[in-house]
Amino acid sequence: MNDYEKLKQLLFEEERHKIDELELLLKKSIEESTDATTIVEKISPLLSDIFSKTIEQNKAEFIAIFAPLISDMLQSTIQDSSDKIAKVMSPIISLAIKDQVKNEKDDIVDALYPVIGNMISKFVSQSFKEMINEINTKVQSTFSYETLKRKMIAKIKGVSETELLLQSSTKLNKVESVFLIHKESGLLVSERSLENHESIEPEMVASMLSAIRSFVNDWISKNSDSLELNEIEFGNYTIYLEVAGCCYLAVVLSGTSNRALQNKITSVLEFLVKKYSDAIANFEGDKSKLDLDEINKHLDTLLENESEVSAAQKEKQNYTFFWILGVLVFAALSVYFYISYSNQTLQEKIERSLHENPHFNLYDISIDVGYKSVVIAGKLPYESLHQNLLQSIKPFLTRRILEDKIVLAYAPLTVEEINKELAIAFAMLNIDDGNRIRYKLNGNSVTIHGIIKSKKNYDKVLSKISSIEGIRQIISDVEYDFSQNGLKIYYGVSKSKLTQEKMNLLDLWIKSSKVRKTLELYNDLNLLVMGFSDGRGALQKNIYYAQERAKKVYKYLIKKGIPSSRISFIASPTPLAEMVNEKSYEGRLVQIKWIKNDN
Amino acid sequence: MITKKVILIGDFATGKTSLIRRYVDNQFSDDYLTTIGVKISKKHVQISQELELQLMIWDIEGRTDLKETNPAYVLGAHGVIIVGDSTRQASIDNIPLHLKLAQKLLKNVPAVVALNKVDLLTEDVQMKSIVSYLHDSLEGVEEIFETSAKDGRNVEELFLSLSKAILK
Ligand SMILES: Nc1nc2c(ncn2[C@@H]2O[C@H](COP(=O)(O)OP(=O)(O)OP(=O)(O)O)[C@@H](O)[C@H]2O)c(=O)[nH]1
Ligand SMILES: [Mg+2]
Repeated sequence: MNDYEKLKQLLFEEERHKIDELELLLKKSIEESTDATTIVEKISPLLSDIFSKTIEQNKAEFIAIFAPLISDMLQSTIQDSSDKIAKVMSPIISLAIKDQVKNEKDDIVDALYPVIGNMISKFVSQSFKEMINEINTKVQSTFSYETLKRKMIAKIKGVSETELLLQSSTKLNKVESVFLIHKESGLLVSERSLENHESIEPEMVASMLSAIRSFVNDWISKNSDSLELNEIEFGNYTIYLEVAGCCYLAVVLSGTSNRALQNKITSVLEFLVKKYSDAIANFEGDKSKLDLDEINKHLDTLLENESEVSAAQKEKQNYTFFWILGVLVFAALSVYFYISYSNQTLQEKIERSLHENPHFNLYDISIDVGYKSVVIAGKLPYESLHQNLLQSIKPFLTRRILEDKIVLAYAPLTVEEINKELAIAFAMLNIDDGNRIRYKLNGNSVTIHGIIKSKKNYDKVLSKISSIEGIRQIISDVEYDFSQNGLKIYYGVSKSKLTQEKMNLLDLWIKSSKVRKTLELYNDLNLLVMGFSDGRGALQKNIYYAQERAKKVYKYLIKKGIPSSRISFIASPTPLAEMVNEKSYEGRLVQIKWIKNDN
Repeated sequence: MITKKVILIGDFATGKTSLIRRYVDNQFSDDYLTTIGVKISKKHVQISQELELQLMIWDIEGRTDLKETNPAYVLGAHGVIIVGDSTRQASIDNIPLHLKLAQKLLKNVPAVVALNKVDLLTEDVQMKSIVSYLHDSLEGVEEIFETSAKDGRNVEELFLSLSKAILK
């Protein structure tokens, strides 16, 4: 029984009496009028009645029969009038999306949140990067001097460095610059800085700070009620924001802000606002309309305090000389003790570093550090390990000479020992994410198989293995896992054009999956462009489209600088079995894949 | 020197960042990197021989259906540039919306409109009708420019016209 008959039976079994009715009606209608619309009008209530009843009862069967039909129908309609369909569909789709957004707001927010969080931190950090760099280099000198001094005092007094740091913490709050900024527009009213600490682009800083303030406040206000951004920290610096109605102060200080300083900042801003609020509120970017000298005088008081402190520091500097002297004497006395102490520590250091390399752990190596030399002794099975050992010790030698008393004992390794060496080498390789390697020792040959992602360590391990005495042969059957870096491009029915959209996709792929880099680093990997058709209709046509699709992509990639020796294309008039299952556009696609070349 | 704050608003991907980049650095890129928050640039404008102006240009992230323009970025501006993408009808339809927002937050601040990406248009006819439509329906707009950040068309003119209007 074919589908049609099945359908007939299904439709009309229970409604046989209605068929007669229908026949009658049809006859009558056709007799009465030749006008198609009237016929339709008359029959349709009846038909819909029949349909709805029957469909209700035999839903599953109906679907089974209609499904292929519908997809065919759709296929041909879409082909004939894809524009029209798009027009009909788009409002529905956009409605669906809107609905989705409305109903699942929280889900969407959750999905976006990490992205947005990242963006915020990136935004903040980028805007400040320049400023930070600038400020950093400028204070570096003073800062390292401070650090040194503190260290010396700590040594002599026997006080911990942190304690000293705490004692002098008031001094660490050093105001470097003060910005008075018009709140609404973010325009700079005035900027004052310590001598030699002039800000670069103060106007830019003022605007950026305002933008960041708005950005963060907007974000905060969505999450809590009365908070405001009032401090921005980066490295050792803090920008303290004190906000009034018309303007705000941004104070850049090294170290963190403390209560006393905050109070002072508040009082300066209060004073300025009381006296100049109108002028500042009406600030339109024209500084000549402001009493800038007066305003600056007040701003400078925020910098002043610090210069007092630095004057006090200058006085103290005279004593620095004695400290240095003291340290020198102390140091001279320490030299003798230091030497023996340093031998000891160096020995421990070397031993520790050798312990970190599991290969050396297998053998008995002794190390003896003297004042002038380092003596190593022991037995190692082969030369490459010996060389390896010498290399590892070299960086520790500095002024000392290496005395090498290692004896090479060319004892062939036992299977157990080889296995041990291999286990270590592969454990190291498998630590890397995505590497899945197994190996088998067979007499004197090792077979390796599995998947690796990072080739760097793989090469290292290979050379290590080949240096194991007793291994004659390495058989490698390793695949690189590049599956996620391939690309699939799908096509409409009878389409093979490489549209701008598709070119963009290819560009993006080249960039994001580092195609050129991969080609350069992995000279055993090539690109294969595979074109497919859906296998429906004439074979000739299928072959043509599959080839055209692949060829166009292939040519485009070559145009984009992929060497033609590293890329090839093939075409297939039907999709691969796995693709048919996916139902992704019925297999009209180009798939780009990494393949291993055999030579 | 006098400093003024100028903002660019409009739908996403209409070319606000690109217009500024063309104006400030005389560069253009086909890449689309959406702006997050605000990006600020500075530019000196020589209005006449003795009159010079410094613009702090706020490139504000584009409005999308999910995200309205943040009023805090708009506040305090002395001039507004509203940017539409002449190849994207929806972004042009939204121009009055942006104008309204700016006019609500700012009093008596001059605004100009940029219909960007005209280098992509083949039919001038359609463009003309858009411009004439906008002229009819936008109140309080100084001038409407057909710009291209790509070939630089009318970009200088856009900013200069606004600068002059600000100083009026
Ligand atoms: N052809 C052409 N492309 C342009 C022009 N201006 C911008 N584009 C392109 O349009 C895309 C968006 O440009 P942007 O300047 O980043 O747009 P935007 O308005 O800043 O976008 P958001 O920051 O997301 O609001 C980029 O790919 C640009 O290269 C133009 O005048 N002509
Ligand atoms: Mg942008």
